[in-house]
Amino acid sequence: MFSNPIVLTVLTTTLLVALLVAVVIITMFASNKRNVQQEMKITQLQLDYEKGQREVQEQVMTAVARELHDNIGQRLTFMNMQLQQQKAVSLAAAGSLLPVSNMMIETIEEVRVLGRSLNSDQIAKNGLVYTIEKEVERLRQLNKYTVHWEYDKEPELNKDQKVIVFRIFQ
Amino acid sequence: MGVFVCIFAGKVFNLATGGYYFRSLPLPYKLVLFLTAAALLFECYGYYLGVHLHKGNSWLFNIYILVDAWVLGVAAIYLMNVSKKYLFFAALAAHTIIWCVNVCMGSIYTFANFGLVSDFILLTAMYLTVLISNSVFKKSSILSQPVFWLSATIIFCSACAIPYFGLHHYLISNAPALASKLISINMFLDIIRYPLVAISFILLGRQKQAVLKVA
Repeated sequence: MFSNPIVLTVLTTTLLVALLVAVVIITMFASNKRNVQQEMKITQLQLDYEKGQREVQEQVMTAVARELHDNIGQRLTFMNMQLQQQKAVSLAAAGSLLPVSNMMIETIEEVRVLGRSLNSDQIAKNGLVYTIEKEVERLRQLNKYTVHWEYDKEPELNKDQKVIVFRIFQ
Repeated sequence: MGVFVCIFAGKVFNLATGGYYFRSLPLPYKLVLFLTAAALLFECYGYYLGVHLHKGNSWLFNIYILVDAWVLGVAAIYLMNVSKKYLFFAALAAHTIIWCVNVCMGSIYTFANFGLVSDFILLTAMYLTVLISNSVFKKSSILSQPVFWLSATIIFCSACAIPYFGLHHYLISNAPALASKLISINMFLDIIRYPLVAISFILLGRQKQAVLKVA
């Protein structure tokens, strides 16, 4: 059968066509694989970039929080002590200094809360639920928003995930 | 006989999977499923005519050539992401003219092999376009894409059948014994064609189920 030239022609041509089709499909397969790998690399780069951006953001926020606590907080405390001293020295001025003193105490407290909300270490230390609760309290004190806050239990997330959830909440 | 059973089983498997995932299938795949059902009917009736009634059944397969070209052609046009789709409609019309000329030159009772070859060439070109425009540049792996399995199967089965059917008339009139042996190429292609297309139905069904699970 295979010695017949017609059979040989048909079989050879069919095999050649099959081979050609196989080569085309394999080339497409390889091209698609390359595309998928490239796409994965781009996604990985994007994830790394976003992670880096988040880390820088957290560092800046932590620095601002530290600055609020160590510098501005200390200065305000010092000013409050001076006010208390003035109130003790001059009893006549004590009445007029009282609202200023009260305002100063409130400002110190607000600066402290704000510093805590900016510092992501607090989330790891106190937990996500506690930190969000404090933030909710701060928002309620502003009397601008009505916040409805319900929680079940501390979610099982790692530190980075908790920070992301907290920043989304903020 | 065993080969016919394999081809029959392949078609039944294709119909069963297509029927099972019918709701998940987009229109082009439903057309392909419809063609499998049509092929099964045509082949059963052709077998009945040829083997039991000893009558010619070429006219039946001549009609099937047109049905095959238009159904798979329209499905390909639905699937491809190209702008000038009207060119493919023009190609389908040209194929119909070739088929008519082929039938008119002989008769409806003579197998229109050139009509079939033009059908295979057209389907190979169309599904290559589908494959290139859909699968290659997608973000997911090519093996997980239903369109890859459908297109690759149709390209492979159509392209490989061209050499035999190109010489079909010559072989039938000069060496009928060889023709009956070489038809095994077409039978082999028929055996693998329908189960491979069924893979695309399964993939579509599973993808839809996965989407529903996420939702």
